[in-house]
Amino acid sequence: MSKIKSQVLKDIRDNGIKPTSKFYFVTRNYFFRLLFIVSVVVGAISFAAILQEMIIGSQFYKGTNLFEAPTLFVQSIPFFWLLLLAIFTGSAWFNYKRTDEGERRDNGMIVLASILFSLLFGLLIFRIGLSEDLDIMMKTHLPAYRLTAEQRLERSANYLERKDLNEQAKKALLQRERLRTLCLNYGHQNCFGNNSNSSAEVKENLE
Amino acid sequence: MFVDNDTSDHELIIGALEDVDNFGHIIDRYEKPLDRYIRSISGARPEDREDLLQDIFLSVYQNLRSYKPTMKFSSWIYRIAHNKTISWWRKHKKELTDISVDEHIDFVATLFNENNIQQDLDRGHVAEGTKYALENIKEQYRQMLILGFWEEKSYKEIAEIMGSSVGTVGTRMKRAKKQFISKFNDYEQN
Repeated sequence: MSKIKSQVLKDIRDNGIKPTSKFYFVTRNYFFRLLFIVSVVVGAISFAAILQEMIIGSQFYKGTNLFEAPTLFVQSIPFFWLLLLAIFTGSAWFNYKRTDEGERRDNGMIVLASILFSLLFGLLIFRIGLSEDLDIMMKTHLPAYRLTAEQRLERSANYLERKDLNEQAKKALLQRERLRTLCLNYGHQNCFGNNSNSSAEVKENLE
Repeated sequence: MFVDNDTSDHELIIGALEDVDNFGHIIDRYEKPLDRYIRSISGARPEDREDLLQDIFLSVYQNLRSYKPTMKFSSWIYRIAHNKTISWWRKHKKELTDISVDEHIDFVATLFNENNIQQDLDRGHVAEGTKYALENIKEQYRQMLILGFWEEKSYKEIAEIMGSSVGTVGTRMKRAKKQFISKFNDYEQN
């Protein structure tokens, strides 16, 4: 008997090592599959939120020229949701790789597939309007999130105010006022940094 | 349990799950091939290889019920050995030290023939040239060349061991061969 064989068999007997039950492996497999699905869904929500924010931000750059549009486009990207999409794509890869099927798939294909699924479901969420509801809900209940959204809009608005204020920019500022009004209607005091009086003034000046 | 060369891996697994002593037959069958493989990809010293092999076979025993016949048992056991050896090697980063000259001649000659390269292979230089080339190509490529040429695994088996698709193995194998030849020629010129 070889030294390794005798040592291994001795270790198994002395330490009472037994083969792990099949139930554990089956459960583990389903667990990681579930985590993969959850990661893809969160990725989809992130993508829908990105689309929603980009649509709001796009009001600023629709009427702008080629030099202004890229700056405004970059300013309107919600990096929080982009980061979340990246994190949950990584999570989807990690979880799928630990399933029986995932063991035999290329890393690149898994990442690509999870991004595609997230994008497709995200588009669906956006089309049925859930992303707008989520956007309003987060802006009214999460002050930090509201602040970053407002800062994004402010940056775009300030950028355009340094140029000639065009019709699209005016529309975007009105959009901001609409959101501020909605926020106030939910009973919050400090919506988009100001009270309702100045909202009315801004609206009047713009119109 | 009576075991001979015709006993299938599946029968050995069933026997091992019924009685731990039967697991010894699996060790008998795979100890030498795995030892050779560990030595090839890590250059580990004999005492380190012993520790690794013990760790590998304990892991094989504990995970025996996770094995599914969709994969060859030899691929499955090699996969465990591969992952544990790579983890160990990354911590220790030993130099490759124990490579047989005869294996080099066949391996290098086959590679050069496949790529229509005519070269007089000086036996004395082949060992050093191969060691230099294997140390200086990507880790993944080294593993593929060893699995394909020394362990004589098919692309499907390599894919199962390394956790990728057959197509990817084919592409990487081409790159591995190219890189090996390039590094080998660098050594020859210097």
